[in-house]
Parts: sequence; structure tokens; C-alpha cells
Amino acid sequence: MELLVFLIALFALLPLGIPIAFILMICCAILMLFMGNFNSYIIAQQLVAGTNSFALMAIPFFMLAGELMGRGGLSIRIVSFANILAGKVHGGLGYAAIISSIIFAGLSGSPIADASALGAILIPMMVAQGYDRGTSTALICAGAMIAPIIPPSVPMIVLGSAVGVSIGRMFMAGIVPGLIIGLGLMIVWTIIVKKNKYQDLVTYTREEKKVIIKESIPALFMPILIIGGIRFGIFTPTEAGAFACVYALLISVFIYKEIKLGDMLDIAVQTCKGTAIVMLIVGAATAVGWLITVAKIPDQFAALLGPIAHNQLLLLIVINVFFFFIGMVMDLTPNLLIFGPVIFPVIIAAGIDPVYFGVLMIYNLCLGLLTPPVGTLLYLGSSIGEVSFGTLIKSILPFFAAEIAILFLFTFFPDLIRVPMTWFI
Amino acid sequence: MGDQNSSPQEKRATKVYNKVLNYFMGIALYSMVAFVFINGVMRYVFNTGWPASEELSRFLFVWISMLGAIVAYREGKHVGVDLLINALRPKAKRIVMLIGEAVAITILGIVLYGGLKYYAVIYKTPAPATGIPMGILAIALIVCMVSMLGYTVSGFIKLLKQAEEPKEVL
Repeated sequence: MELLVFLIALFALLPLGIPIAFILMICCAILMLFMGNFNSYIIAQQLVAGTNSFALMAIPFFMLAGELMGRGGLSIRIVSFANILAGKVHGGLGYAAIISSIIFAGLSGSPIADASALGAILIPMMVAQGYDRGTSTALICAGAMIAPIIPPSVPMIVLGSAVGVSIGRMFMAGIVPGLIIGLGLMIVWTIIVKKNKYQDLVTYTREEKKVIIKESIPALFMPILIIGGIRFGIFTPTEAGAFACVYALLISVFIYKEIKLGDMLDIAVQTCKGTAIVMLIVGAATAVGWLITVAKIPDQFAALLGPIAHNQLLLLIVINVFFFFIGMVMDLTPNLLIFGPVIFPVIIAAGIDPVYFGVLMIYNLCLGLLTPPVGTLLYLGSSIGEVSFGTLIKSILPFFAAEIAILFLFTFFPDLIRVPMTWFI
Repeated sequence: MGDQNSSPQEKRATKVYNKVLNYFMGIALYSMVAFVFINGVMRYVFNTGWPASEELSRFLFVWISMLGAIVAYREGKHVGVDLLINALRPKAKRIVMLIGEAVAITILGIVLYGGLKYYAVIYKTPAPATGIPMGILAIALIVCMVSMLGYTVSGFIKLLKQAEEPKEVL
């Protein structure tokens, strides 16, 4: 019953267009009234408690590191490096875009940051090479899907701390799936290159290559630092974030020399805003989460799933379909925070590996960033790529189809995530 | 929020307030990085931690989250579902927006009241590692709620005034 009240309140208030964090606070108040334990003190206290977390501090740190790297002249070096790797085949720039997405995913933890940093550089380059503008933009948007899967990952930090699954383990579990997504996109790109007969080649002289490789080494070293540091227990994900910031600051200021003191304040303000948008929802969802536990909503949910709760595959399929549709209408962070704590107890009871499921859940919900009506990445893409929303949707279909196919693969063959996970943990 | 209707003094006050917020957030964020970084280095190199660093950085984190929320709110950056209201005709849109703002004012008021009660309970409690009074966290929430409430109320009043004007024309 409480579950129903909560969902009705949520979906009745969403269309008002006010921030979702406010809606969560209201849902909390309504749920309290319904349960007869209304107390504004608890909402306020939970809002603060939700933000007062050492684990979640990794969010501003990785955002800051990504922002410093993006503005410090790092993105362009990654792109040049990827061009050296892929320039010798037809459609090389497209492959380079996918490789850049993979490398950038190892530096930034958010698909939005990934798409805006790489899109600004790569889309004009691809259009100049004679690629279709819609397809170029679509490739960047689809490639941004790798960012939340390969560590560091802001969604993994949010989900991990909300449901109590190790963030470090989820980071390690995301490496291979992220590469698989990149591979899937490359296959689609090969078909597009053949169909459109793209002939472009990017060639560099030996000297140019030397300079690019030398300049990109500090950038390429950062993912190794993060993954290695967490893997070998040298630091926690939060500390890894702080180290990444110091590292990014040092190379942007002293090696690339592209960041000035004045930029640093602006970068910090952008980071704080981005952090606050996530954290206000986290705070509100913490209050909701507290009530969800008090109202025993996970039990109600498990009862609802009743007969299928012990068939792992069927359960995964039902939950995936649900996530796919909820991802279309609601944004990533609230989805993780509202449904994570409700669904994880059911998943664990069914004997499904929570680390595997976390990666799957994040991947599925992230696909919602590419679907109308609330596809954040599509809006961003159409503005940086200067293509209409409709054209972009049409162009992204082949890539999206591949990503859906990969979602099926991950669902039906959990070992694709579970086995490689053991290589890193 | 449009600034057309605000007086010059109001505009200047907003500008100063924003600048203070920006500098505070900038300094706080880099300090957080420094605290966590130094703690990590000390633990690894000298085998001694710095217990205060964890608490200090967490408290700053609460503050940047609350202050950042104000800035993001002023710029309309918080995530919401505006699909439906954008599809409405201007007149209906205005009504739905007025309802939305009224709902926002109600909940911000409730949380502000809760925040004050929260402050009253914890303002003297010292934090375990640093001894900083825990009330400092409640203050961050109160500042956030008061600022957001201010923006929402002024937005609500502007919307009301706008809604009256077309009627006079008719």
C-alpha cells in the first residue's frame, strides 16, 4: 500500500516540472502523513545525512578531474593519439572517436561530460572529413555510454553508496563490459563506412607521431593510476578521486600549460553546480530511502514479484524491461536512488551477484539518456552537433540497436561481466 | 530568473551574493581535495592518518552541495520533467507553473522548518574528530532552503503579475 501511495504521489507530481529533488521531498512528506509519523525534522536531518558522506565525495573529485582534464588541453591529445591508432583504415576518424570515448571514460565518470568534451572536438573534425553530421553526432552520443561503465563512474558511486555494494568492485567489473560496448559500436561503424564508402585516411609523419605520443602519455597514465590504485588497495575510490584531481591539475598547469588561475575558480564553480544537482537528489532520496525501509517497501515489492522472484533469468528480464521504460521518462540519478534500494534486496534474495546487477542496472538506465522524451544526451548532442532532434534520433538508431543487443547479451550471459570481473578483483 | 523587474540595488545584492558563493565553493572544493590528498599521502608514506581531514572535507562537501544547489537552482539547472508543461498552451502552462511554484514553496518551507528544529537539537554537539559544532551542517541546509525559498517566492510573484497583464489587455 505504501508503495502505491509513493508511486502515485511521484507520478502525479512529476508533470509539474519542478526539480525532482523537491518532488522526492514532497513524496516523503506525503508518505509520512499516510503512515502517521509526519516530522519535518526527519526530512531535514536525512537531507544533511545523505550529503554528509565520505564515499560520495568521489563525485565532485572525479567531476573536477574530468573538467580539469577537458579544459587543460587533454581531450585534443587523446583524440590525436586515437587517430594515430586508427588513422590507417577507411573511416579511421570514426574508430578514433570510439577509441577516444573509451580512453576518456577512464578519466571522467559521466556520459554528459564525455559527450560535451569529445563532441566539441570530434564532431567538427568528422564533418570536415565528409561524414554525415547526424551520424557523427550520433557516434559521439552512443560512445558516451561507455563513460559510466568504465571506471571512474559517477552512477556507480551513487548506486554503490545507496545500496551498500562495493564501489571499487563495481569499478573493476565495468572495465570489460565498457570495452565490449566499444567493440559493438566499432562493428556498427564498419557497416556504416562500407555503406557510405568513406575513404578518409589520417596520416601523420614520424615526427608528428612522436610528439603526439609523448604529449598524450601523461593523459593515458591517469586511468592506469586510478584503476591500479584502487585494485591494489592503495586508495579508496574517494582518495583516487582526490589523487586524480592533483594529478590533472599538475599536468594541466605544468605540462600542457593551458589552465590559468582564473580558470580554476570557474572550473570549481561548474563542478560544484554539477555535484549539487546530484547531491540534492541524493539528499532527498536518502529521506525517501529511510521511509522506504521503515514502510518495508522492498518486502511489498518482493511480494508483488512473488512467483518470478526465484527465477533469475525471468526476474532479470522483467526488471530490465521496467528499467528501460522508467529510464525513458526519468533521469538517471533519481532512478538509481529510488529503485536501487527497492530492487537490490530482491536481487540478492534471488542469488544474483549484486556487483554484476549494479553494472547491468546502470547500463540499462543510461540507455534512457539516448531515448526520447527525456534523453539528456540527445538534447546535448543536438546542441553541440547542431543537428535537429529528429535527425539525431534517426542517425542514432543503428548504434542504439547495437547497445540494446549488448544489453540482451549481458542479461542472458551474466558471465560476460562476472568472469572478467574476477581478473581484476 | 529574469532580472528585468528587479531594482538596481536588488541586482547588485544578487551579484555580490553570487560572487561570495562562487569564491566560497571554489576554496572549499580545492581544500577538500587537499585534505583527502594529504591524508592519503600521510597514511601511505608516514603510516599515520590525519583523522580531522576526513571530517573537515565531509563538512565542506555538505556546504558545497547546499551552496551549489542554490546556484544551480537560480540557473534552472536542477533536473525536472518539463516535457508536459512545455507542451501546454501559454495560459495553461502559466497555471501549472503557478501550482508547481506553490508546491515548491510549501515543501521548501517544511524543510526549512525541519532544518531549524534540527539546528536546535544539534547546534552544540561537537563532531567526534574535530570538535566543530554539528550545527554548522544544519546552517548549510538552512542557507540553502532560505535562498531557494527567496528565488521561488520572487518567481511566483513575477508569474502572478505576468498572469494579470494579459487580462487587462483583453
